[in-house]
Amino acid sequence: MTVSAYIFFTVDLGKTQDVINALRAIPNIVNVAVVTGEYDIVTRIIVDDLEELFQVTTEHIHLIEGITETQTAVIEKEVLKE
Amino acid sequence: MPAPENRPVSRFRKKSTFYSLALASGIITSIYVVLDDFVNFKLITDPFVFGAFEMVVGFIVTFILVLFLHIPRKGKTRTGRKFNLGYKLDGNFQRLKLPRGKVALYTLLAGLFATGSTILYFYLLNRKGSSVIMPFSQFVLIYLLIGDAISDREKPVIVEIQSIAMIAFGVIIASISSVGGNGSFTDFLIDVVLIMVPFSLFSAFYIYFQKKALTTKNREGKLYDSINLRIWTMLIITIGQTIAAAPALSNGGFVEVSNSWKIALFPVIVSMLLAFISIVFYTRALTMGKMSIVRALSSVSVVTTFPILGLASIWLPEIFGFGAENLMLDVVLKLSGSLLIIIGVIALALSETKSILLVKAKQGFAINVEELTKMKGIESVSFITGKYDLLINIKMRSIGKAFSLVEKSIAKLSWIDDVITFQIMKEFE
Repeated sequence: MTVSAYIFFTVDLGKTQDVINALRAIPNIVNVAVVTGEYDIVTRIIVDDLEELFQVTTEHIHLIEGITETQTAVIEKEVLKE
Repeated sequence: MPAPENRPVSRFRKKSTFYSLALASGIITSIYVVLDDFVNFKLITDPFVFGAFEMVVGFIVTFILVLFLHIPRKGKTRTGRKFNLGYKLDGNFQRLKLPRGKVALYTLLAGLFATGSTILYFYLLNRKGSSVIMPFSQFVLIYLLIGDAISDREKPVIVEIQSIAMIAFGVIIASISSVGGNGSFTDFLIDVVLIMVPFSLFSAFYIYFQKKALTTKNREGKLYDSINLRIWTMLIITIGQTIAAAPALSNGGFVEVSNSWKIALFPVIVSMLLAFISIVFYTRALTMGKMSIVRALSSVSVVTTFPILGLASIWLPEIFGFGAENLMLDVVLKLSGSLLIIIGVIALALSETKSILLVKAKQGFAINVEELTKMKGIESVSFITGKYDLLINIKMRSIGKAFSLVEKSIAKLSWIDDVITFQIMKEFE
């Protein structure tokens, strides 16, 4: 059973493309969206468990230059369109 | 690691797979239609007898091929079952099995509509040849676009109307070259009516029920696969085609088949194997995107038929040959028509906007997620941890429609406290 989560990022001005490239290089990240509004980027990540989520976020994502803030929301349940 | 259906963004993208499958399906289609044209013109001239012969041979060949697809391979899927060759073609394939419940009904309906369009396909191929069938058969796109618009329950936006007009004119222009010249005007009108009404409608319903069969989960929550769908619809088509050919078979058709089956067998086997691959690719693409977009991408067959016909005319000028003057005219018209179809489709595909909504629910109110998933445009709803309770992915034709959805539908739900919207500017899947 895998764990999915959305991670919301705010990014330094002018660093968005670099951050996108770095995020796309992480195999667990399955979707990267550049958005308008409170956050700059929203990604979706799939990991085996919360331990791996902790590892990927702290050892990979938090080290990417240009990211100023992250917020992680773990998906408890997902309902697709009927 | 991510599940196979959620490939990492850095590898082969889902969108690329979708486009590749639909385009490959179109290219393969143009090859087998030209092969059919050859066999029908040269070897078995009666369209109903030829259709029955091809479907019977095709069913046997496909059945054997599907048996081969059961050969196990090393390793196991993420759900713990063993890999087989079929898994490579369609990740949902396990083994040959009869559909049940609603999936069985959709398969039956897909098979019946496919029978209608297949009988007409052989009849029209016999009347006009592959150079007419390919562009005209793209007319089904119009029905699919209208079908998508009806299922969206929204008035079409300007880009949808523009796209439908471009595709319609594209289809007409790509077909003009082939309908001019030979035959009377009445013949032309009969062809047009047959193609635009029963042939295109049967094809549209066939595609619709294929999609329904492939996207409906069974009691165990599993999806049906394109390989099983193909074999069972083929069985229905074979029975229907044989019944349709019965009068012609008893009226000299058997003699024609017994005289030429040995020569016809090889091209028919190749044609049906190609048809199988094309349809599996096509139905897989159907599960990944809108019906109209898949059909439109595979309409590349209008363009690819032409060089294949050109190559075939070198060896068999009596069947596929055309004069040098007509060649230039045909190239210009078919390219212009195909370009219009493709631009119309791209305009439609690019006009979609995606948004992410973060929703906070009112304290003490039950969250009714069904109210959300029933709304058109909502792709998924996720219960999340953190400041907000729900994350909703929406896909609409315009930002205005997205605003309407949020303002007129979502925000009015009694249990919703707050909604914030993020418009997606660029996305990497």
